[in-house]
Amino acid sequence: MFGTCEKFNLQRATFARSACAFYIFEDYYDHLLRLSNYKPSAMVMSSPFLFRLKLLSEGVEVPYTYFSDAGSLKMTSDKGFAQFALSDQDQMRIRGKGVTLRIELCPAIPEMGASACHGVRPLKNGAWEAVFGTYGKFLFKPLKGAVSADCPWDEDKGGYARVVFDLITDDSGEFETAVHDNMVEFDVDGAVYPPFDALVKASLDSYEAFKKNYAAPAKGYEELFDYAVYQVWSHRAKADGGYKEPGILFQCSIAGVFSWQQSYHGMTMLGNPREGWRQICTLFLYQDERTGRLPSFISYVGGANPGIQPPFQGFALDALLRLKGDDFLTPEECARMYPKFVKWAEYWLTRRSAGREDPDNPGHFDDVTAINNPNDSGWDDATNFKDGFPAQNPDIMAFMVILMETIARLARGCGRTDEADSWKARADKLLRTVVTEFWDGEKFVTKVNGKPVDSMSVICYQPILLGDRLPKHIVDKVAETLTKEGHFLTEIGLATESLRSPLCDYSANTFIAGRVVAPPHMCLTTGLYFAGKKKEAAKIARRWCDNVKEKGVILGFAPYDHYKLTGEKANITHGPVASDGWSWSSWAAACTLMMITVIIPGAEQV
Amino acid sequence: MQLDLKKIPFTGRLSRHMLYEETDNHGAGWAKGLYLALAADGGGSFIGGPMAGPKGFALVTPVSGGEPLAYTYAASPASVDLKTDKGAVRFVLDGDKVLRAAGSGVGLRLDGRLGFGSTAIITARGVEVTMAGGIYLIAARKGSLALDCHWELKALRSTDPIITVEPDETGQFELAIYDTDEAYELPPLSESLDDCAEASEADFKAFARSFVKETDAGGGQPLLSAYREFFDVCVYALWAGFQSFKGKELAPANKMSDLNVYSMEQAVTALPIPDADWAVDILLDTLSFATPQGMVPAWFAQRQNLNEAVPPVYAYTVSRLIDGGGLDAVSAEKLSALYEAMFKTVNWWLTKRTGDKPLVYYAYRHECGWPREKIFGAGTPSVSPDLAAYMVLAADALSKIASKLGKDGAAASWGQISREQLNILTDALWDGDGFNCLNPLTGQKARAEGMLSLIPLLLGRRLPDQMIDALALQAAGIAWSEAPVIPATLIILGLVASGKTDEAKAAAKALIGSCAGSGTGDTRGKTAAPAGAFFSPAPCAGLLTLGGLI
Repeated sequence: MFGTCEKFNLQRATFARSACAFYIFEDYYDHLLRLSNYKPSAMVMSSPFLFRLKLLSEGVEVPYTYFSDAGSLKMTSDKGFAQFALSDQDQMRIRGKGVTLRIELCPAIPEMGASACHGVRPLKNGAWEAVFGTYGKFLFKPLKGAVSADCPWDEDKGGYARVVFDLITDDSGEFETAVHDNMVEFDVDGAVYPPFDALVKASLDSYEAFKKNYAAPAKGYEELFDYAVYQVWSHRAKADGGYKEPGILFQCSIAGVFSWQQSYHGMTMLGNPREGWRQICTLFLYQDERTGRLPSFISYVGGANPGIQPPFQGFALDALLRLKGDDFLTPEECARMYPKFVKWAEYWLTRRSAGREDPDNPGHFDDVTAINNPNDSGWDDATNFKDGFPAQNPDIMAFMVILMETIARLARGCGRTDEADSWKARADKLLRTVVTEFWDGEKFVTKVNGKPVDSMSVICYQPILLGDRLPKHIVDKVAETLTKEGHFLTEIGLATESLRSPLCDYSANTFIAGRVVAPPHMCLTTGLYFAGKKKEAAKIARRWCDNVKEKGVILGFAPYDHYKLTGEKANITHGPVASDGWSWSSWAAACTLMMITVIIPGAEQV
Repeated sequence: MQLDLKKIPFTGRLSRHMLYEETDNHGAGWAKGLYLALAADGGGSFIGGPMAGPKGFALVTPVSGGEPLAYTYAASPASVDLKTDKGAVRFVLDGDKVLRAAGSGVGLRLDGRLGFGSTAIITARGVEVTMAGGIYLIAARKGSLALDCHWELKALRSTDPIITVEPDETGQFELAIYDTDEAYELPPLSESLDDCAEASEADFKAFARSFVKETDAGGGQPLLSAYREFFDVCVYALWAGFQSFKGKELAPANKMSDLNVYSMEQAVTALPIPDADWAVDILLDTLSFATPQGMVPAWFAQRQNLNEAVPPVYAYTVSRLIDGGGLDAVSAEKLSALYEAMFKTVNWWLTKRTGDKPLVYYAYRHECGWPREKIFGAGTPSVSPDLAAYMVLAADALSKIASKLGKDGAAASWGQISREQLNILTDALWDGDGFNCLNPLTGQKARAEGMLSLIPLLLGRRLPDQMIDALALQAAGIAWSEAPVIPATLIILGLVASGKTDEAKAAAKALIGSCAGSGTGDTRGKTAAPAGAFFSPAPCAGLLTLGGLI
């Protein structure tokens, strides 16, 4: 799938495995492979906890190429090879022939030196334990050949001068080593070491089984489907550390299970709606019982996390129900999740209330929401927030409409008929408000201090996710606007700020200010699809998917190297940057999967 | 007592609220002046910039007609009082969650600072600043509040907030500043600021009195009179140093600069606590963070622990409690809990840090607590005299507690382990002039140098006189005025236990004298502590222990 001579390499993607925290990627600058582990949640660009992988023959470094798939990664040189397989038992296996594999601590910032390493020691049977402070611990256990460590202590620095482990062949010219990881303490007495090939097979089987969570892709997108599923599968963390249940990481280098992303994943799992529903419910495991808040993300190291992300869960559940029916939604499930969904909705309706008096219920607020931080909307630098806060943004209200509607569905599913009627009435009322007060004839508008914000952000059309709940004239207008060439639509999908906008900005370290970004495609195309605009939805989806098919499953792209409005050259950095445009992303993969398994095939059925 | 807010913040026991004077003594570019601060550890910065730390949260400036006023201030554990030509402002703590402020004749301007992802908004409740997963709520009870804070689209952050407090028509303002979160479980307020000040003062005085009482009763003398003021600061630092931490009350390293709770420091923090019950609670709470296998992490924090071993200094704390009769007053239930906790954590050393022989070793340098100390002449792993001494004390303490609990078999067994460890120390590690460290893998021995080689003095009369004399001679070479406070304290306590009282007194005077001037940091005299962070609870507890003994 990935390799030196493949369509995609590991500069932007990672070799990883479901339920395993080790990952390997290619350094953009020196092209050597690097090893790390996501449990400490360190960011690749600043982490001291990175290891360079080298092949040595007779003590001399030799060049190598590599190839990886879901089963293993193989580094190949003229002198021999090293091969990696990952397991779901906190273990990485490495075998090799003809060469020594060198694993050398090499931080992202050279000045950090070997500071991440706090200690290295030999154990029985030729094993070595290395401890890295808050970054965790590695245990190198030789199964064939030997492991040596070169870690001299520098008295002046009060730390290691270097930290190098060599995996050395035996007389037969081969080596095999198991590498364990742990954030607390090792207890490997009972560890089992299946044959290397069994680990490879287990990984491949796991990947193939995971594919079954999805519907079949549209014709022509089979390879993209494999890559997108790989991205999600390889970033699926198991229940361990701070994770109470499996969840899907954003990236290995930004190793958080982000709140709303779990629902993006859930709604795409049409091959296994029960798993999709579990995925949507994931963050409720961490719900604040006092307030109903769902944290913005969960990491392996755990702890309370500030912030929130949008109330996407209703939209995701509604999509699953529309596309796959409600077999998974048993009365027991409805009873289990109804109060949690209610608390989450009440969190938004009270703690993000716009404070508008409800004319039908004097002395009480209506259900219009307002946010004080763009992070609450998910769209951190969208121009509909240029006038500041509190902002009454209809993109959030659209989510709230569907959340309340699905709460009604859950209530009905467990026999709470009166409550179901009440929530449905509130959903309908907020829908009317969104349509009558926040649609200006051309777009949905965010309001600050009662005044509409003059924005040309694509987020102004996000309430299309209300689908067939919206009046036809609105649906028609949104579909027309989004499919008009040169406004939002580009050759590679929808720009997040109109190309006609003076605020359009797709330079480095921007997110939603102009770049063509995956998640809005998910919301907009799914909304158009449910609104009956399947061809328009597919048209947009194909633009996105055809691009990622060639460029990789990345979160966002600059559509051009210049700005259409002014002709000015855009400041685009091509190397790794802190923006979301660099790494492959499981969030982008989920969006892509929705488009190639639902949106594009849907148009073909029309 | 008066507080120098340049060195230690105005705060309270279990409170995260602080007020300190920033001097920019590290040249980081801080505007100088009084700051509001919150002892919070950031709460999960993940992407983007760092969270705002405790320091520099909001610069406090009295104003009149919008113009800043020059001011002086006086601070005590009860209040901070600002005086200007036009009027005055008073700050007090109302319990641990609320900071109250009242002004007369002046207003207030707060220049705040936000971390990535934080915002400041004005609502019906007041000005709400989100930070560290919580909300810093400034509510006006008299006068009015205004906020200047807006979103910077390109910077992806809010501008640093400017909060203006205007007095009402009578010239008064009053604020209640809550350390809260989105649940807004706001505690009821006391009647008046004077009531709050009195309550804080009373709580502090009661805490301080217990120390004086102990030293009077124990030594027949008050604390070293020459350092009376300094010991007041130490008592304040200890009183104010405790925080609520995961349902327990423990002392982070320094509320201004390092909110990690270091396990070794908790053992020292418990040393001078007169109430044995409370001291045992501190130890039990600390040991409760042990890993399933029994390792006590070096530190714990809200988000993550540093899962690396540190020496079982708690063994000495427990030994002192036993020797002083403190454990006699502790319930059998609590004693049993202490036994079980220590059983697990001491056994960790006996199983995870030994080989075929009962030689207990440090596997890694950091496990000794001060990895730059010269205790690893034979490399790692290292059987070191300090660790052996702690093991003697730990096993002996377990033996005595077992005996109190009627576990005679266990008492005998732990007694045997203690003797065995003592033999290792006095036979295998002693070379006639000093202690060696021993690498159990290579068999290599090397002289154990540095302060940690003197830790066995804690064993006192268990050591032969010749050994004590040699160690005391080595201790005389320590530059006490520059020595790290915690190991220095332990060595001085060891000198006392070994009957070297005069040497101990001289060392204590040098140590205490250096700390009185420069703070309790390990780099005092070389690098100044950051403003407001001169005195930390654990070293202060150590120094108080010395004050009580000498």
